Amino acid sequence: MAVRSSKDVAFLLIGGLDVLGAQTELSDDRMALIERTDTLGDLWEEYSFVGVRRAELTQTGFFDDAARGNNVALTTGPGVSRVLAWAIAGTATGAEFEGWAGAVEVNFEVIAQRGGLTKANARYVGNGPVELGRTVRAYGSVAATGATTGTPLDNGASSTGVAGYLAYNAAAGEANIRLLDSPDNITYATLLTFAKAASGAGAERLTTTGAAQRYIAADVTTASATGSIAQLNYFMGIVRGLSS
Amino acid sequence: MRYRALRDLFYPIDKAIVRRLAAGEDLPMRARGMRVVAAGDIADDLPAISVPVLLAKGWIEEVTDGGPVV
Repeated sequence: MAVRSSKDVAFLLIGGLDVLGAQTELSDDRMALIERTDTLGDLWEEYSFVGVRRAELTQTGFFDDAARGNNVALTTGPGVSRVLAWAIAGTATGAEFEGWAGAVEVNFEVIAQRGGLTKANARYVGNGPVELGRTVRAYGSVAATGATTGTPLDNGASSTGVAGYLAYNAAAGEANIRLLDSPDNITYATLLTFAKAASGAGAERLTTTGAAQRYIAADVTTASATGSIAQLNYFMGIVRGLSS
Repeated sequence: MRYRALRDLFYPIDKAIVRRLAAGEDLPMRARGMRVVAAGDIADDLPAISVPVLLAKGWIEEVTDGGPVV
């Protein structure tokens, strides 16, 4: 068993924007919706799972108006649904992360107080699957374009049905980012192709019902329309087995 | 042997790198000198060790017309 602490929270990406640096607490709550099923004559309450789950995420932290930061990420809500990814288990390839296919921002609260730093809190409700996966490429900057990057993920036996998560932010340019797979860690093929990454921020969840091989890697290549992508930071993760 | 890629393929062309990977060494992708072949293009330098599994999975097909490669 590995005990985790605040130092292991690797990233919190909302629509591709990195807001971890402004947070002091994250509360992630996943619930099963149940219905009471005990009937006349029963001595105890009974419940049955109705087959639907609910997820809520609450973030507490400091108000931060840095470019591509906390305030930029949240003030265009509430009501906006974004792909969200966050991790409590470090940055290594293969580390666990949690992906939200859609996180609807239901409130954003700014608190200015006498003698204190201004705070910013937000709450989200899941809009679609909330799923646990493995990091393919830890969130961070790309050293160079036009080349595949990182060490592949050995994700065990092949499987059918995967979801791929991409979250990125960039200062300029464009790039094509793909999720690759391989049966032997020698020859790889494209498994998922994400929409072109451009200046600003973005996040996307793609799925395939086909087979995904054992080894998984990320690939970044420059898209030439507007020049090389600059100051690109991105995260890629994979979830094996689709819940929807 | 020549093969037509039925998917975009990425593979190392340095045989020493292929031998190291086949032996189980885990190299970063950037250190492998990967060649990219687009779906539909023909390659004659696929790692021999990968060919059987690529054929089995339908990622490549054998080409016997003697035409040009990419």
